[in-house]
Parts: sequence; C-alpha cells; structure tokens
Amino acid sequence: MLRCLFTLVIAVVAGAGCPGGNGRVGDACGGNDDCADVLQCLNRSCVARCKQAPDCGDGYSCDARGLCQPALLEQSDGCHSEVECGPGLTCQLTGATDGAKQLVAKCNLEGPGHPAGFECKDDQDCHAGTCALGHCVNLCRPETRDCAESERCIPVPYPALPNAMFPACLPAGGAITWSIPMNSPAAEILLPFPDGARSAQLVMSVDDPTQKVGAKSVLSPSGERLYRLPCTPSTMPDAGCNAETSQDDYFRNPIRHRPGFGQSVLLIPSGSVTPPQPGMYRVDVSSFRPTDTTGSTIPQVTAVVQLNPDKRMYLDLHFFFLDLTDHPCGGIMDDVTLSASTAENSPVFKNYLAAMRTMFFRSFIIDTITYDDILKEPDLDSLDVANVGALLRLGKFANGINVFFVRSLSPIGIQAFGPNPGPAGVAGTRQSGIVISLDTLCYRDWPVLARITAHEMARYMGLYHNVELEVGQHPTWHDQITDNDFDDPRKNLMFFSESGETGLSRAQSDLLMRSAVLR
Amino acid sequence: MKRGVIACAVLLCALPAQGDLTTISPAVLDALTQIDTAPSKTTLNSMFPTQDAALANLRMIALDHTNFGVQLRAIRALPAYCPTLPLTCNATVPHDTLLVLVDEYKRSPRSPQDILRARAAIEALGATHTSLPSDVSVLSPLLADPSRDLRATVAHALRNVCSAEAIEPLRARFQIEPIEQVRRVINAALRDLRQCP
Repeated sequence: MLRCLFTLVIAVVAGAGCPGGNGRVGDACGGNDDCADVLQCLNRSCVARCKQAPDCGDGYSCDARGLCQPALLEQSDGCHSEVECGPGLTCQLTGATDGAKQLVAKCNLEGPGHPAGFECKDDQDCHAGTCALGHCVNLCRPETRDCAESERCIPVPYPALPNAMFPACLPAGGAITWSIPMNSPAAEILLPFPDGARSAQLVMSVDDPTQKVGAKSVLSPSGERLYRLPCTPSTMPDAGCNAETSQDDYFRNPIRHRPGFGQSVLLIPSGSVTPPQPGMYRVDVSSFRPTDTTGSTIPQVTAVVQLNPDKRMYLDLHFFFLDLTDHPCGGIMDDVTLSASTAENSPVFKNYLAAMRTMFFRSFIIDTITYDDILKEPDLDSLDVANVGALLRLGKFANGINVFFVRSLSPIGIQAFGPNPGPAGVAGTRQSGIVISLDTLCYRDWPVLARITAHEMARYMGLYHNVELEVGQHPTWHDQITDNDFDDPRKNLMFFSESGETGLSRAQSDLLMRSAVLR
Repeated sequence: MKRGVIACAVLLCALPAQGDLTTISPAVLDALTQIDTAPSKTTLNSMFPTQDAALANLRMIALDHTNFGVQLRAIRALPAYCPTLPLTCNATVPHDTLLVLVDEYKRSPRSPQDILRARAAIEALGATHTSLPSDVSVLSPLLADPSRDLRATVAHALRNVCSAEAIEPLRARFQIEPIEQVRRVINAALRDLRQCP
C-alpha cells in the first residue's frame, strides 16, 4: 500500500513538471521542468540553456538563468535591444532623442539588407536597419546576454547626432576595419570612437603618387580642435612660415599628423597628454598638390578601430628576406646567408627575437613569427628610402607587422625605415611594414639591430621619438608622453640615435597596447 | 686632371687635420647616429658657429676611422655642402674629400667595412651631380669590383653624376654582369644617361 502511494506521488510530481526533470536534448517537453537541470524547454523540445540571446533564435532574449524568454514587444513599441522585439521585427533607432537626450528606438519590420557583421555603407544596407563602424549591428542592452559570445555591447556614436551614443553588439576583441567613401578631393568625414575603444585611425591614400593626402583638421567629439594642417613654407612665405614654424605647428598639435605623398595615417591618440574621447571625431580629409593646395584626386579612406579590452595582447611578426646572397655582412653564421630558412633555425636570430621580446614584455607578447623569402624582386634588394613604398606594398599580412630585411638603404647610414605611424591592420599598402638594412651589421651587432628594429616597430605602432635632435633649440619638439624622463632621454627606446637604450615608460607601454597591429 | 689633384691637395691641407672623435660634441654625434633619418644641412650648420666650420668638421669626421657609423653619415652628408647651381661641386671640399675616400678604397684590403665606406663615398659622389668626365673615370673601374653591392652603387652613382661618358663603360659591364640586381641598376642608368651632357 505504502509502495503504491510512493509511486503515485512520483508520478504526480513528474506529471506536474517539478524541478529535476530528466528530459534529454531533443526529448519532448511541456515546460522547463521536464528537462534536465542544464537544459530548457524551447518550442516543446529540451535544448541546452542559452549563454547568449543568439542561441535562442529570432524573437527571444536570454535571461540570467540561461532561459530563452520570448520577446513581447510589437511593431512601433519602444525598445532598447534587438532581443526585445518579436520575430520578424528589429529594434531600430528613430533618429529622435527622449527627454533625457537618449536615442529613441522602436520595433520595426526587418529590412532586406545584410545580417549583423556584414559591411555596410548606410542603415538601409542592413537587415536590422543600423550600420555602425561600417558594419551592420544589432542594438543591445549593456551588461546583458543580448550579444553573441564573441561580441560585447559597446556604446558607439550615432552619425546623425554625433554627440549621442547607442549600445550595439561589436566584436569583443581585435580591430574592426571599414572603408569610408569620399566623392570629392576634400570633404569632412566622421570617425566614430566607441566607448572603451583603444585607438582609431584613418589610412588615407591617393592613386597619384605626385599628390599628397591627409587631414586638414580634426575636431574632437566635444568640438575641440586637435589638429590643424601645419603651415607650408612654400605657399605661405608672407605669413612667416618657414621650416621651423611648420615643425612647431606639427609638434603643437595634440594629434600629430602630416599629409604624405600617396598615403598617410592619422592615429588617435598620439600620446598620453590628450586621451581619446568616446564620440564622433570630425576629420577634414583632402588630397593636396605638393604645395599643399587642395589636390585633384579623390582620397580613399580606410578606418580602423581597435576594440580590445584591457587584457594580454599579442603581436605577430612577419619577416621577409630579399636576396641577401653574398652581402659582405649578411652571414648569420659562418658562410650562411640570412634567409627565411636560415633565420628560422638560427640561434643568432632567436636571440635577436628574444631581445625584442624582452623590450616589449610590459606591453605585449611577440607571438607568431612567419618567415618568407622575396627572391624575384631584384629592384628591391637595395633601395632608396624615397622608394620603399614599392617594397612595403608586398607586406601581405594585415595583422602584426611586416619586417623586410634588405641589403642596403640609401642614403647609406640609414639603418631602418618605416612609416610613423603605420597603417595598422591594413595590408598591401605603400606603408605596410618596416625595412631593416643589412648594412648595419657591418658595424653593429645583432643586439643593436634588435633595438633598431624594436624602435621602428614602436614607431609603426604609434610612438614617436621621445625627443627630437633639435630639442635643445626647440624645447617643444618632443613626444606627447606624460611620464617620459627628459633628464636622460637617451635611456629610452624611442631615442632617435642608435646609441639609445631600451626603456619604455608606462604611458608609452599603454600607447603601444592601443595599436591595431595587436590581437 | 693633374692640376685638379694638386688643387685638391692644397685645399685639403688648408683644412683642419684629421683628429679623433673625442673632440666632437655629443649633439654632433647624435646627429650622425640617427637610426631612420639623414641629418640635414640646416641641422648640422646649427651645431657649429659657421657653415664653413660645419663643413670642416664634417670633412674631419668623414676621414676619421674611429667611429665607423658616424663616419658613414658624415661622408653621406658632404654633398649637401656643394654650391648651388649654376656653380658646380667640382674642386670643392666635399667633392675632393669624396675622391680621397674612393681612392683610399682602391688601396684597402676590401674588408666589409672598406666596401661599405666606399659605397657611402661613391653614393655621395654621385649626389654631387658634377657631370664631370673625370668623376666617370674615377668610378668606372669599380664596375668590375668583386662586391655586387659596390657595383650596384657605382652604376647608380654614374647615373647621378650625369655624364654621357659613363654610357660606354656601363654598356660594357652590362654585357658581362651576372647579377640581375646590378643589371637592373645599369639598365636604369643607361636609360637616364641619354639626357645627360
């Protein structure tokens, strides 16, 4: 009798769906209690609990217990996140703000465009109706499970109202790259700096290498002018502009930049003195004739934003070796020419890498190393620094830094060369890498070459010479780092001379960690 | 030619003698050890009381073998002190100092540093743009040097000297040059030399 009663209780409890059901994945269910603890009942079937809303499919959010909750909002209802709107609807910004100056969004029918993550030029390109940082995004609520596991809910600036931000799902780490179209030789473009992003840059180029390209001015999100084109001695002689005052202008700008022939890079921030602000930067981009009057070619602009949060970062180095055969100082050991295969297996080269790892250990880990030979480009075996663009175009890796070993650089005496800053995250441009001259090994050893290489890498990543050669006559000609020890600048890695040492201040290390070359 | 050599010798004797680099100021040493920039004439001039003093010191450093890296940059900085057009660099301190250095190489054991020093001097000699047949005569024999880097530097310098006298020796070398890198430089030089006097 007692056993029958016990069996009955069990049956009733099971039928009522009390906690502790034993349904397995795929089993039919009437509620969550029919499924094992780690599962949930979704569409009458036991499935794994969700980690993020996208695990549940369209029209659901994922709550803190890992249960998919159906979205209840209907068309035209106010919303904050994509996951609040029912199936077939999407949460879209209306362009209006509420009383608290927050952007208003409403559930709207999904459009025909691309899903989240695909590149876009404007909102109409996107299925969910929102294009940000050149990619279709979904709106989200911070500190929730609204975004996919590989994403974070990050406030980004809204182009139509540049001082307003809205949270959107963006990749949790790494750099995001997109093209910004221009229709004329000069125009203002908007560079969004998401909240929590580490750096933002514009890579500007023109097809005509006789014309320069770059920024004319930069305004911060709060409207402060951070950069003005340095004066040009050749076009403004009456305005008192000479080579020195032009340099003064360059060093006075909180964002350091100078247009360059064929290509230039604008990187935010330029130092620790002016930290970046979340919001929309307004940048006047232009092509220029050599005299700095407006040019005739239309610039191509690529934006790169580094989103990595504060965590350990990694740098990949990609070594390329031109034909170094018979170079009088090119032997990595007795009678062995430096090349991809000999470098990879050489203790000398391993020590060279180890020295660089030590210099940067506070900022990032030098991780993946690749080795390639370039043996069919004899024009590039030795080259003038004015022509390094043809070589750097062969820099095929967007992640990390492309490092080219050449026989010689002209003018002889230049030991290494690279853009400052370089186009981090963009491969195949006339500035995509740095060049090291093997001539240096005729009078300096590998440890010195390691410091020279590290110096050029750091310049590529956005550090500047800590002091300029002329700092004695021009006290403002130094970098924008707040904690540099100017009493003995020689100890710093960024000292311009080969006689410098390898120190990096905390602010310099922080600036390196912002670079989009890192992953 | 002989008169030129005598003039050169007189001129060089009138300048400060070779000295060790302990007399060079730290600022000048820094200027001549930059990693990624060649020192400008303006910068170098600002480190000395006069332009003549700057040139005299550069010449001294260029001929001094104490600090090889510093010497290289000093050699390469000399052409910036050539007079501006329509004057030529012929029989000036920079030009004659470079001739001394090229001549020195011919008598050297041709160590790696000898080769690199000579290449700096040859490259700088090209940058004087003298159009002098005598410069072609100095450089042309070096097209047969065992170092491919030196041969490439010579071909490039002959192009920059810009005298049609260089066409024949370059053509002759092109016929037998085995290294593609050097052949390309010779080819480019031959193309450009058609425009030269």
